[in-house]
Amino acid sequence: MKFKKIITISLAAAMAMTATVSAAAAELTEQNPTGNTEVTAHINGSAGNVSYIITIPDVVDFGELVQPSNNDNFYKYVDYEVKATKLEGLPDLHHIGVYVKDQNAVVKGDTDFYITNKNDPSIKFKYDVFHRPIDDTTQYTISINSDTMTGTAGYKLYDFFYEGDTLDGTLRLNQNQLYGRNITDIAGEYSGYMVFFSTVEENP
Amino acid sequence: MKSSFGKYLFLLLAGLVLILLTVSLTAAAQSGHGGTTQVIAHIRMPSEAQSEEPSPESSTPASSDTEPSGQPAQTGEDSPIFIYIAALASLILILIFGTRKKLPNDRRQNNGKEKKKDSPSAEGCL
Repeated sequence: MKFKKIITISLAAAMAMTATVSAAAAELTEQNPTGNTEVTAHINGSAGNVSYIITIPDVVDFGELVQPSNNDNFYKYVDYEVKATKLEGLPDLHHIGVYVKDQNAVVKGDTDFYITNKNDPSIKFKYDVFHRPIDDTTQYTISINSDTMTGTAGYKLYDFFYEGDTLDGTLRLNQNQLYGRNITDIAGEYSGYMVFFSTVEENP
Repeated sequence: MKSSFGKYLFLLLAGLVLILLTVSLTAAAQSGHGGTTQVIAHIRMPSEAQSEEPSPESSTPASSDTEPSGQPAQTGEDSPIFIYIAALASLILILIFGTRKKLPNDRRQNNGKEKKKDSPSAEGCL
């Protein structure tokens, strides 16, 4: 009987922890700027509470990459959205700054975002991140990662001032990276991660 | 034998719940679920390709293919579903074992007591 009680208590604790984990979502908040749990917090020196949720996409899929027959630019675009689904208690002259970087990015190092072959990490392709919708007709487009990354949080993606503010952006991958490669070597699934970071900032 | 089987089954399910929970927590920590967005793509083998190779003209901008937006923010991967199923099954087993009938040894003792109660008492007889 004692044994059963121990098992029962352990199981109940496990179920409680499970509920906590499964309630998590792809969201950034003030206490978990790179996490996913909604909480409220105080800003030092400011009155009231700030409570925010920045919703980011869970997965962005480039789909099938195609090997071109020449080395000309052959871009593939995929859109994404980042939204301030909740933003309360933000003091005047403040906003939520959202940054993003590649999972392996280092300050003043490689500026590119990568997707890596799951079977052979040495095979990878880079892509660029834009904080606006673009396509082949867009001119004078500069990606957010065109310059060296100077902060550990990553590149500034967008500033959110009000609840409901939405950033519609685009990821762009040049498929000419596949040109001249042995297709049997590079075939397979690719994956990479964009790491987001959010923080309350004072307006400039 | 029956009680042993049920006990082992119960332990198995409880262990499964703990394992799945550990996997879920680990995955969450690694992917920073909520703080990271996974970017994926795939390249088919030539034998799997169904369409001809594209041949963009050098004098014009390369053709593009805009994919639909990535999936909206999700509440997580599918592992919590299996955790709930395993946890629910374990809970059902707990309830079953908690309300099941007494063991045979207990029954013999109870039957003995019942027989003593049924036997007529000398007291009260006229």
